Amino acid sequence: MSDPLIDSLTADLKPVNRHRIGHRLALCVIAGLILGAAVFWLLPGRMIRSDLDIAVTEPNFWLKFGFTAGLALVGYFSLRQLSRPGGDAPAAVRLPVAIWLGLALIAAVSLIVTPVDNWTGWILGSTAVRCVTYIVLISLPIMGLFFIAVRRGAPTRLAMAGWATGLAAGGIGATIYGLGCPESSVGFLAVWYALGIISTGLIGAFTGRHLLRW
Amino acid sequence: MIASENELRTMMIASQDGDAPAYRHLLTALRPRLEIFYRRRVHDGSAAEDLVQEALMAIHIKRDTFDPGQPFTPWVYGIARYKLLDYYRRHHKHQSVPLDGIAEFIGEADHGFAAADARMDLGRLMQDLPAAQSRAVQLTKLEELSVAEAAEKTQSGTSAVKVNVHRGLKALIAKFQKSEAENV
Repeated sequence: MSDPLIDSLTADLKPVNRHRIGHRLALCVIAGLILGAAVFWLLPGRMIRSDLDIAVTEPNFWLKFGFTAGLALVGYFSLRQLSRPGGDAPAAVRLPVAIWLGLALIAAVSLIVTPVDNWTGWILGSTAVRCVTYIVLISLPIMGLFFIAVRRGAPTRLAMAGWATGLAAGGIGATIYGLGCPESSVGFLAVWYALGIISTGLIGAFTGRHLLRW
Repeated sequence: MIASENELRTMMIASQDGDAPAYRHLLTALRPRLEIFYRRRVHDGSAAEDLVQEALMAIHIKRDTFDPGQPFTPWVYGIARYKLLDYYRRHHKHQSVPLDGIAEFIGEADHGFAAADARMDLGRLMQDLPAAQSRAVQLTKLEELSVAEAAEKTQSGTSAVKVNVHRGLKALIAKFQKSEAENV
């Protein structure tokens, strides 16, 4: 029995490139880094740490870098699954929680060795609000780039894909911001950086349900 | 005959490489599955047919998103389910997403097609039953009516329905065991 739709779909069938989504997402990481750096440059009061050459020798600098870049990678690899029909990535929620718990543990230990008088400064730093808003502001345009790429795949769990998009973009944005941020305490990282990235992730989850439809 | 996951996957991989006959086999094998899937969930017949066509077109447009290293059934089921949810959303039927739709949401019903296949097998076996028995089983077991409701619908007594259900099920089990034995 002949079916006109199947006839038309099978006519003139061309081979497809299976790596297209993967390539687009990888391109998003590079373009996102450039776009994020540009946005960071445009924001008022931006600064690249003048002591960056000294900072790179401190373990806390790398802990910060590892935390933000690690979350970006979790988001990125989850998206490679979530951009395809039926794809799922429970790690997009579980791994960030595990990573954050590890960080919180380090923070709790260092809190014990910090004199009580310094606790407020240690957690609040002097740039807390700026940290969260800048991370979100740098991340949103990056998230836009990823949304375009993910949509051109075929995500079927939109909120989850949106969350992973926000996580990837938030992680990249926070990594860029971290190069200029003078705060280096683990407590500050565990509270404000985490809040900036989680906020971006939640924005992604809520908007993704609409913006990721195809 | 219903193609297995392995056969479908092989056809899909060939289709991605541009093998038109394999692609035709694939779509022809998928069409009845999609029909069962949507007819069970969308009562408007023409809407169900529209969904079948939409799903086939989505499979076509998004065929580059299938990863040959992954199983095929979750991929195609993901598309079928996505189009169904899209339909519910367009018709503001948020409340009427069936229970198994929620199970699908949390990723437990990737076997939806297998259930549909099983239902088709059951339908085939039931065709061979005497009409009264097949109707009684259909009403009480598949449509989940009570014996009294079934009796009213078939205009017979409750005891007659009970006897028919009992005999029908017994015959079905025997047939099922026989067909299983043949398939091994």
